[in-house]
Amino acid sequence: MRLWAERSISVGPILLAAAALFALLLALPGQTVTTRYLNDLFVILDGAYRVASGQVPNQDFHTPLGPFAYYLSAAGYALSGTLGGAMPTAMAVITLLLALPIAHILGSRLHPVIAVPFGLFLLLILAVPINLGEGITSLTFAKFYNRIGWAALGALLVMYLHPVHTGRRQEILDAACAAALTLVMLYMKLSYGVVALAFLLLMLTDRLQRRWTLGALGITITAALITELLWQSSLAYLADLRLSLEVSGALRGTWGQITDHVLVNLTDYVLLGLLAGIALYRTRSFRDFLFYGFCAVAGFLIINQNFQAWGIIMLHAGAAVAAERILRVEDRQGGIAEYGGRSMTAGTSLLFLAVVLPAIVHSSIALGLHTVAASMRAGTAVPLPHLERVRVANLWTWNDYDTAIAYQNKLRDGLDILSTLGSNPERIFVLDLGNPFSMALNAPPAQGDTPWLQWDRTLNTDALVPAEKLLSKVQIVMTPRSADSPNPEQDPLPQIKALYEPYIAAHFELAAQTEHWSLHRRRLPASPQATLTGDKRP
Amino acid sequence: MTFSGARQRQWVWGVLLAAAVVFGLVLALPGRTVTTAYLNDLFIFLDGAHRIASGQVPNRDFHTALGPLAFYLPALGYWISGTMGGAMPAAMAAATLGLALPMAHIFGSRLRPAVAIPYGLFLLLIVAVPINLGEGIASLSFAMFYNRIGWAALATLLIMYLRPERVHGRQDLLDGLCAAALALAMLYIKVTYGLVALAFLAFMLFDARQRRWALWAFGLITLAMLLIEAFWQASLAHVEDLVLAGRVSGTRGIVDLVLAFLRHLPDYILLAIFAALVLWRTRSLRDLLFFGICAGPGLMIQNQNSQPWGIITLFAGAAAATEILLRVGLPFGREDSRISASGAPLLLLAFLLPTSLHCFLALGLHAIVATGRVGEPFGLPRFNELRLTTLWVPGERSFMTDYLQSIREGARLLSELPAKPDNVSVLDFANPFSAGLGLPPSRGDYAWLHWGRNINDLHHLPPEQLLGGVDVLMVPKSGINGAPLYNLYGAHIREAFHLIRETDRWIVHRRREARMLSSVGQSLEHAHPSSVGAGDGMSP
Repeated sequence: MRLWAERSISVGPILLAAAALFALLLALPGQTVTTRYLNDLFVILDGAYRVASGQVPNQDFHTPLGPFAYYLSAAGYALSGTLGGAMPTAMAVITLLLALPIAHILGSRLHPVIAVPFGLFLLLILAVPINLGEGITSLTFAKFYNRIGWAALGALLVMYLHPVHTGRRQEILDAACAAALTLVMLYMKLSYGVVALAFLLLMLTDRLQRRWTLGALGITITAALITELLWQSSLAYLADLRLSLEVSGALRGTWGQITDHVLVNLTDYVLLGLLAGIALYRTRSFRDFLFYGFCAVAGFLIINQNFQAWGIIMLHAGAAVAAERILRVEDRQGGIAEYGGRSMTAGTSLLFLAVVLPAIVHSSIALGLHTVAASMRAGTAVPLPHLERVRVANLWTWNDYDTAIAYQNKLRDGLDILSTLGSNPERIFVLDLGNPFSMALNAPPAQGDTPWLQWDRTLNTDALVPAEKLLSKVQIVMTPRSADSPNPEQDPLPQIKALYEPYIAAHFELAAQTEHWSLHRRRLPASPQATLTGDKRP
Repeated sequence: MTFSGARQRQWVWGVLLAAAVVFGLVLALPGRTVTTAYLNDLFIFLDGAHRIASGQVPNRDFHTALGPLAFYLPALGYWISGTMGGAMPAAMAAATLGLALPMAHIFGSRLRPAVAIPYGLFLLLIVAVPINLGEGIASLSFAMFYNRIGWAALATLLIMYLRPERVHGRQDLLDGLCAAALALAMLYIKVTYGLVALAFLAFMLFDARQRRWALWAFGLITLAMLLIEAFWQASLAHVEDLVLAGRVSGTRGIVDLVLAFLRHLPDYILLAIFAALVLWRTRSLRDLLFFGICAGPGLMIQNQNSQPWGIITLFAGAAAATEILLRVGLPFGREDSRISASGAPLLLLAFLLPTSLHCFLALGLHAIVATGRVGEPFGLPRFNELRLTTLWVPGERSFMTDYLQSIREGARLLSELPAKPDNVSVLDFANPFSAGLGLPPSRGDYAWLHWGRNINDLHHLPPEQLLGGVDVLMVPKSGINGAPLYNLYGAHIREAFHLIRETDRWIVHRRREARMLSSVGQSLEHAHPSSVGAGDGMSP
């Protein structure tokens, strides 16, 4: 009778099966279909290509993202063998990998009526190829690291609840899961990792869960030390992060923009508020109150750093915890619960469904759309070598499509002049967001530069990697001649140019010029000093 | 819920009317309009109020695809407040209060207070809030107020699907009166809402227990329409204007509907949860049809609006579903039948609360900035109490300030004319000068000219009709959509008018004396086509 509250359904197999299905839907077509943010895709693929060419993130190129983001996309590249297959495969892999801790944590802590929808919700957030909060037809793998961070954090937060069954096995698995999720976040995007660590510290105050928490912290620290031994770039990673923090600040935007950003997520805040309010009314626990507050505030601090309007997944995790707290109180009051109690159980389940179901449906449709579009070879292939399996489609996204077509023409033009250079061009740097040329030409990537030049995100007038460092090992600089944004006054290109042009003028010579590009080639060293200063890079 | 039926009804009446009064006062008391968006749309209705106050009659003296109420209501606000700046806030306060009466009757007799009060407050806030639904709270604007009135009226009417539980003495008569009033308000403010309302009333004829008031309503509506026509004598002209607007603003049909549906997917999913709970229990085809009426026509209305979000009929479906669940909630035999019944009010609250809070914040923000006299005064003599500001609306806002600059300059040019004009017309989106300077309005023209929405190359008035009674004609050099209009009417203007003043922003023409008519003209360069998505609601 009380199926909604029984623990008879085994959550684990359901979630693992769902993860396998989502992974297949993503990876099987072996194609990337995108309708927007094409240049962001090239930023990611350039990173995968660099790692595949033997480069090490933060050591050989600057990036504010953690190395895991690059190794993951490189793994997708290696597994699929094509650049077009790289991102779908990478996301399929991470969906499968994270499904294990998600299934363990949710299965051991939540009623199935909460665990199954919340698990599907987290898995779909991992698998869906859109930037959270955007339309179903806005297919893109851009910002994939944000979705991974949210899903990992969402699962970790559920560990706030005590597991239903305690024991040694449970504690070991708990510690392993918590450590794995925290490490993924730390080495994917640090803002998530910091919140994860703060959460673990909060968990130390829970006597009953202290053991696994200490275990998790121990594993995390050990793993970080081992990583540093192998990688030897932790300080470089922190330096790159500090730079991007200087560029964009810890809290971005004006107070008005922050208000609007909160209001975009108002529905989720209200739902969390309702569930947490009921739960607190029942439990009267100050720790719980702190936990919900932590979800609400830390979640906003993370999304404030993201390129993302909607989707503070910490709120959904907080709601799952609150719903579970209510259900447990009802359970404890026994099977002969009075009218009000019984209806509270049902109301809670219903309310929690309202928290996750819209996003589940939205993401399912978008994931299905990508699978269908990729299987049917929708749209047109990017007209560059090695990128045939990256397709740009017009799914009633006329404006984005026009932008993408103009961008592709520009890239084709750039590739043409690179091909006219004769000898194989190498160490190409593009003074713009996204460099598809190295991978298209299968050329050795530049070193010491960055695949990610984005105004007010990775550089601005006050904070940047100086030209002497950024361009010292670059052979060819491709500079876009005209802004390609619809609003030329707001295009940051002139500002980026102004920062690097003096160095380029001093050390490079203009080799070719077309409608879209200026191509500068490094001058042959006139004196040995020129190379010497170049090698002095720390 | 230990109150008796009468107590419950009193509660609903008391809370909703008190809330309507409070919201109305918050809107109207500052007596000032502060806007951050759709300045040009605002001018349409200030001009409209001015036209009505000068004795004009909609569709008889000027063309409009909006119903006459969309002009009489601002005129009422103007009459109440006495100033142009107070007109729109007072008008919307009056609308809020006016809608609160049928709401209180309908909800009081059909909904439990746990449903009636949150749902009623939600609808009142939708009427009162000075933003276009779906936009940020800083995007303060009275533009497209008729959409919000239409939504609230329709969402109130739809609750009449439920049979009254607490029957009042003259229940049928009052029901018929409320239904007729709501349907008429919709028919005469924006016809898309009115048609859905009539379809819903026809649907209600199939409910034997409610047929009486539905018939009453149809009778009253017919009678009222005949009476209105007897005084107004412009019903046919209104229909012609509607047909013209329909021809001009064709949509992409099914594609737009699908995209709009996807934009509202979360709302549809929540309504689906409610509908599933109800249908699981009642297995009633009529209930299914009712949810269909909430879901389908709502999407079509939204598709006609310039509104990024907000199919309010979905919320009506959810409120009605909650009430149905509460009514059938008391079980006989099946233990689980009350499960969702008691969860439903909570879910409804979760559905209504975000939008209610959002609107409440925007309403409060308008009250604060209006009281604090934030922003730049419009600068026209009769527009003292109107202010433009930007707050934190995203995107480039300079076109709004540029537009206002050009209006100021136009007003200055007009006041410098040696002879006071008989009337002024603007060959652009809206005419702010008649109302702003207190000049007699022109006759026979459009209330507004929105290229691609109510005028285009194929469908437009002949120049003699549009400009026939115009004394001074202001032609903007860029404007909102000045260029395509000039291409259309330029030849006639060169023939019938002569240039009397030219600046960077305006060319001022005056009608030639009959004897001076010749073909001498001045060619003009218009470089910019319409660049502003004025009144299109969608921020990129």
